[in-house]
Amino acid sequence: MVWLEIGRTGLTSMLLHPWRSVATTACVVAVLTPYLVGLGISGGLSRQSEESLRFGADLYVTGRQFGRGVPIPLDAVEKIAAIPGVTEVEPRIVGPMVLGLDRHSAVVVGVSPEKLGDASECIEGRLFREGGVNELVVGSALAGRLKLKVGSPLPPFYRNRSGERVSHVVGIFTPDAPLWQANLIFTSFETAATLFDQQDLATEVLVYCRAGEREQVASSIRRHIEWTDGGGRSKLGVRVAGRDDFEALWSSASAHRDGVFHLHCVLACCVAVLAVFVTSGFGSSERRREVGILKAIGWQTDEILIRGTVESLLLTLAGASLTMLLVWTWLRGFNGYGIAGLFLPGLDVRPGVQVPFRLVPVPVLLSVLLSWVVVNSGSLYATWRTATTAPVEAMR
Amino acid sequence: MPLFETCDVARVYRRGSARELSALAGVSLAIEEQTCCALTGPSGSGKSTLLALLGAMERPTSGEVRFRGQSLAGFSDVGLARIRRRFGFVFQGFSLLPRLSVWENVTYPLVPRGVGRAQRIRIADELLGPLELADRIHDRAGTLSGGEQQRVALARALVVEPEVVLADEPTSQLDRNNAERLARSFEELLARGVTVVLSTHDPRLIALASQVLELDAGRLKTP
Repeated sequence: MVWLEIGRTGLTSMLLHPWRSVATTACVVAVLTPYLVGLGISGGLSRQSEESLRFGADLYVTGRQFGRGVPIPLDAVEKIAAIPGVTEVEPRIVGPMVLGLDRHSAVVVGVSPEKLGDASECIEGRLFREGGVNELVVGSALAGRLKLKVGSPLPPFYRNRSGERVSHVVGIFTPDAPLWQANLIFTSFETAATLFDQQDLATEVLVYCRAGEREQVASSIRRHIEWTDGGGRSKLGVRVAGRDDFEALWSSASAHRDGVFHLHCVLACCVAVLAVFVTSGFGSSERRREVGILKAIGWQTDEILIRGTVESLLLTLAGASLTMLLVWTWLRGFNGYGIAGLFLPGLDVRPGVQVPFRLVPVPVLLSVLLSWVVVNSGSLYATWRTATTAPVEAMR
Repeated sequence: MPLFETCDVARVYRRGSARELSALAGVSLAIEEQTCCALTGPSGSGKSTLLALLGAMERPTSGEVRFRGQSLAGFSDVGLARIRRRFGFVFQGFSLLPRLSVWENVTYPLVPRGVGRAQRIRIADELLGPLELADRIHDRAGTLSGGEQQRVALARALVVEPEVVLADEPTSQLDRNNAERLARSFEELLARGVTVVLSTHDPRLIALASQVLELDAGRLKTP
């Protein structure tokens, strides 16, 4: 009952000092909002990458020469398919390309339409046909930039021994598609081979294995698959990467980016503590006098601190609620404007694609707790300093 | 046993590194229970400092202050706060919280005792009625006149049913009517057996006192 009554005066105090409350809440919002927007985007990207990996192949095999990845001959596909434990093998071509007068970057992926998996559900129009030539499915961002629609013809955009051909857009990935597909062009393996003028080669081979035999298959591929090049004078090896390798790579990159963001948040918190320190009345005669009066009329230091703590908690909750609203608006309404580019190099300040986000409760709650620490450490020290001086001194 | 006793009490304020201001020097006195003691003397003579020391609002630089025979030096910060809960203070500048309502100002000393909001409003109403402030109970204290604020300050001092009321120049900022009204309130307090210690130049209040102590330059003048 006593604590309840003291806590209630904390609420009164918050309402009695509106400017101070607004300033403190603004500090919380200023620190938390960009931080949570960043965390939300990071969470969304992680989820998309996890899903992409989950639906991807078990192993990705490329050629290896001088310790670097090189295309793999299609001859290897049959050899890999013959390895015990392999259920399916699919060659794929992935390569960059520049399109349009403004030279927009795109990534061409030549693959069997069956291997697009869930991605095929996000298509406006239709998928390219198996073995079809010069049928393209374009990512939404790229389509937007090049003003392409389903049915749009693309003038010949490659010149090689295959000759110049007009391509057609047969489908567009809608904004719901994973972000990494936004700048992609999906096409058949044959079309991609023609585009890059590389016959009988794949940039990688997707290998699907029986459950529990992935490691064994990877080991067999490393041991048995090799071929010669350059008239039999050069021996080429293979590089095998598993899902775990990509997960580790993603986690490492994600942790690095998140770490930079955490560091910025910590620095922002330090600034906010100082700001709250000032707004909560360190050196403010009115605030000191108020604490002095409370002491003079019989309040104990701990009771004054409880009052201050409740006030801080309420200010934090007010700030956190406002922050959640702003974060949601920023992510949903403004599509991660300004911050998405920090996580995805190449994105504009105003992203042209739907930026994924995921607000996980634990980091959000931890951030709210952190902001409470910020507000409390800023205001409580000032209150404690005043509350431990003689009432007469504080009231002067 | 006297209610208050001071033995050779001194209070020195340090202003900067070198300057020292002696507010009280070697004051020894005794104040009996259920009496009225008036502290008089010119401004700066140490009346407010002596009241603050008696009211456990600060500690002496040297000497000893005793309340009911117990030295206040032995009390911790919490102990002094508990002692202060037995006192009612009327400060010279009222020392109200101007943004709070009148009833909240009056009953703030009851908050740490866990008295609920509804009961506090009722108590404030009962106290402010006789002081002719019942209609201002929900107004902000900062909007009241000086006389009204002083009455609110008196009500706040009385809300804890104190053993002692310590009042620092309670009529110094009041007109004659309000000063007389306050003097009558002190008379009623004395009649109820509450000990009153006040610093004042007001002859009406001095007239109430059974003990008048004159201070000059931080020392008690011997009669």
